[in-house]
Amino acid sequence: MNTDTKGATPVSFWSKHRTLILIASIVLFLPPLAAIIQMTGDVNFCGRWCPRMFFVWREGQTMSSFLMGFVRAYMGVALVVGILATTLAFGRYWCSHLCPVAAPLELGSRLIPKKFKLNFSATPAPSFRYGYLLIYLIAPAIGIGSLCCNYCNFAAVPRLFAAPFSEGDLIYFLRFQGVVNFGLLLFLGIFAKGGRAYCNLLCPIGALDALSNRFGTKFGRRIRIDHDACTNCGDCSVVCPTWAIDVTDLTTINQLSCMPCRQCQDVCEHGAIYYGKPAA
Amino acid sequence: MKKTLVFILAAVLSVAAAWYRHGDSAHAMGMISIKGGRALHPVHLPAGKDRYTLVITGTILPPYQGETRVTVDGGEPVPFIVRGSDPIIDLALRHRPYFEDGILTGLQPRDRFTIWVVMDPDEPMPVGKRDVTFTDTASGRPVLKIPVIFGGTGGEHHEH
Repeated sequence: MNTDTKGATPVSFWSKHRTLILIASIVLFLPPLAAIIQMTGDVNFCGRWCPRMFFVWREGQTMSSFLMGFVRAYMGVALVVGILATTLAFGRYWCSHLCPVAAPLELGSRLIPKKFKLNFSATPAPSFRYGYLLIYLIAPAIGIGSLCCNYCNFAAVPRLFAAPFSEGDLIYFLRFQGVVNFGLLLFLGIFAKGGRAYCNLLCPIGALDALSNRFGTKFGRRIRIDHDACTNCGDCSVVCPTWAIDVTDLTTINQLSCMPCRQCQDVCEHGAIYYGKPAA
Repeated sequence: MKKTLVFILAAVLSVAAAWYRHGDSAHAMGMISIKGGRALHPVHLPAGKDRYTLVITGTILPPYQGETRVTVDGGEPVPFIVRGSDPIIDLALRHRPYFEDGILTGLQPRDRFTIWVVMDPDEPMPVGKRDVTFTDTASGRPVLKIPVIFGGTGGEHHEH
């Protein structure tokens, strides 16, 4: 992994080829090809690949059935553990570069004219996200319902890609819950400024990943500000898709929302944004 | 203050979303076996609608293997369709069961399957019980029955 040096801002491989990597992720994980998913004999992220269910305790569940959930979704477990571990060291590359669920939302939003885009940046994303995550974890445990499958981005996005070819996947959207999920993908994805409002507000994997990102800030590689070079111009905060940069006083990056998409780094004319470990 | 309010708002909206059921679809789980199988999630739905969608996921318990026909039985006949969830471009990297012409084919022990059952009653669905039945095509015996109960009040459906 290339690492930019502080202040110099050379273009890294990950920055230069991010769009290509996102497209590759779509091709490899989503229908019609879904080559990586098919390696385990699966069709989509449900079942073995489910990354959203195994860590949720359900009312009346025994410890053995809870643990069996880890076995049943072993690829999802491996995926989430891998995401969290790499994030600790390198930041949220899964979210910014590799996530096939987020990729079509961001790429799709780039095709929408600016005047039609919705700006959610006034919303304090971590507050909303962890209010959602709290209920995501608690609701099934106390038996009032569940957000796991009904509002699953890892189910809705692959089926959106399969629906033109498969009636079984089209059926997913021809019911009230499917319409709601489709609406959320449009409203918080395609039509959101930056295309990442869904990721930033409603993705439980993103929420866990953000905690890992925040936890590893003191020793891992992250997008950081060189305050000696920063002029507080605010250009970086305008392009940030996760509205993680605050320029009201001193420019700061909220590591609970930041992912290393490097868009801020690309627009900074002063070389004040770098990806790396904390300055000594 | 704003952060606290947003946190509370998100929690309230999430509780509402987790609790509310639309009542036109449900998820059921079952296990196919020679001994007649077992439904892990019987389905409860409100009667009176003109379209219902069930997603049924399941596993095959050893030593069962073969083909099963999927039908909706019980009460007045109701028009239904069943669809599978198969790869669009099949790379044939691993064995997996397929759904074709109403039949799950190539079932082997420990396989998993997903099917969609859509019921389109001509009249609003009356209160009563239906079964989604998986019948072994070779022996004619049911290898799984998933009860679908259409009740008079509210709806309930389950996830995994």
